[in-house]
Amino acid sequence: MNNIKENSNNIVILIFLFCLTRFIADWFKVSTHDTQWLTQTFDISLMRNGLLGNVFYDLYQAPLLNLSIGVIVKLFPSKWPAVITIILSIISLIMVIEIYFSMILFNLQKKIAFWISLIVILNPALIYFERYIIYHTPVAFLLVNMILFLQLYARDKKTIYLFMVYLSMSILVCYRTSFTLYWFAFSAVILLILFKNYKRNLIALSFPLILILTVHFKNQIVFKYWGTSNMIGNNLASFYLLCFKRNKAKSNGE
Amino acid sequence: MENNEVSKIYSVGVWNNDLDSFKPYLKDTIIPNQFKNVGVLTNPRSGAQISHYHYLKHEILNTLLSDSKYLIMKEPICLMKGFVWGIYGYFLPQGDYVAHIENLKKIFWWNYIYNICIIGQIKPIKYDEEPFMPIYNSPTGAITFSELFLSMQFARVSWVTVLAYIGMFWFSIVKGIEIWKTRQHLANDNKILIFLFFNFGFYFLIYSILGSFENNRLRFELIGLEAIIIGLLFKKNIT
Repeated sequence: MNNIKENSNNIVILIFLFCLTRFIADWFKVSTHDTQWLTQTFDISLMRNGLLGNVFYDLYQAPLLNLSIGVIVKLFPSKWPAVITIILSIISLIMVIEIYFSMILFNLQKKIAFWISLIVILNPALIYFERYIIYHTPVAFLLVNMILFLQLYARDKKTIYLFMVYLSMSILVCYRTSFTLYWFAFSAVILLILFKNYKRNLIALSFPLILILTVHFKNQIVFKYWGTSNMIGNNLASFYLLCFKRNKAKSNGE
Repeated sequence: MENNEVSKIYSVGVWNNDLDSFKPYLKDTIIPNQFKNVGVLTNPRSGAQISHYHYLKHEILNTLLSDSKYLIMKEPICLMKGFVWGIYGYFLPQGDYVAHIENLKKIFWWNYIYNICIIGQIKPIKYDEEPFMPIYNSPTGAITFSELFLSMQFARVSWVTVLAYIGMFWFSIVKGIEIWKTRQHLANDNKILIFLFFNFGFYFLIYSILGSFENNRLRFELIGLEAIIIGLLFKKNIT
């Protein structure tokens, strides 16, 4: 609380500059990107009709991505791209403020924390991805969120902060296919080793872990696949493709 | 995968239009009864690059996964080559994947000024350059080695970035050894740093391996962690 009061001036300036830059971006007519051609997201018709069933039977992506977009599509049938852009902008603003406080909690000078946060605000990539309806901005936010709450936990030793760390991690697993149960488990072991308090760790860990395991057991029962998504097949194939094609060309004498 | 060979899908490529030539194969797939009347499994995608069904997509992915597992066992050298190429691709400018080129053109000058002032970029990327997605056309998948990942925006050569990251890694190693020797790693800040670096490293490795040269969007997700790490470089006494 003291941190917020002491830094209120800088935070207000950062929020003002964030809003100003976004108005300028709108003046440049930077538009929301229609991601309907992407393979990660459903067709809008699938989001409008039987969203929950479609999310349940989709193994291609982790469930929270299409669920979160689908809920907004259902709530705002015509204005959903604009609403998602506003939500993503708010998420990136919160991320910038979290970056600022994270640096303050690392005992950095206010001036340095302010200038680095400003550099992030001005970053054209941030503006670009706020208008790109997919997981990048939320993932960037969740990673910072995880670190900030860990800092708060290290300082105050409150279980709720540790719970927030694990919750951010579990949302990442259910939101982005690259973050897996194994990453979650490995991170949890690291936190257990570093911060020792096993009982508190297990309490904070339980609900996020149940959330992840629910998705895994669902996929195991419905698709006989252990994981949030089978996208790994495509990724591994891309990884091997160049080498494989070259070897094949060599063996064919090309 | 049949008779210990990779599938036809694998040999033609992944997620490109060549898959259309395997329509007869795909059509043979029968959607199980339990999945009938589920939109996501029975409706073809209208706007997707490949017009196949979600259920078929599952089948393709499972096939690709079993192919990859087979290749990992049979041709481990491919794994090493792919790993090196993956890391190389991670540092390439822009990558092959530009989602909304119109937006990039609209913020061109913003990006240009930002890259010069903040990143120290020498040469701006030209969005009108053809071919704009050269990665799939190049036999090695390489363009030019030019950018490090701080400039996850859309920049090209940046010596400021290169020096900043060389400095960061040097600083991390020297400080890391010092912290470890004096057992200061038990301090709270350092515990958080260990966790932060673990996640940063995990993300870097996963996306350099599995990112399939889509470095532009994948590097972006580290923007917050990078900002915090860069901030720490300005801290006089890290412990």
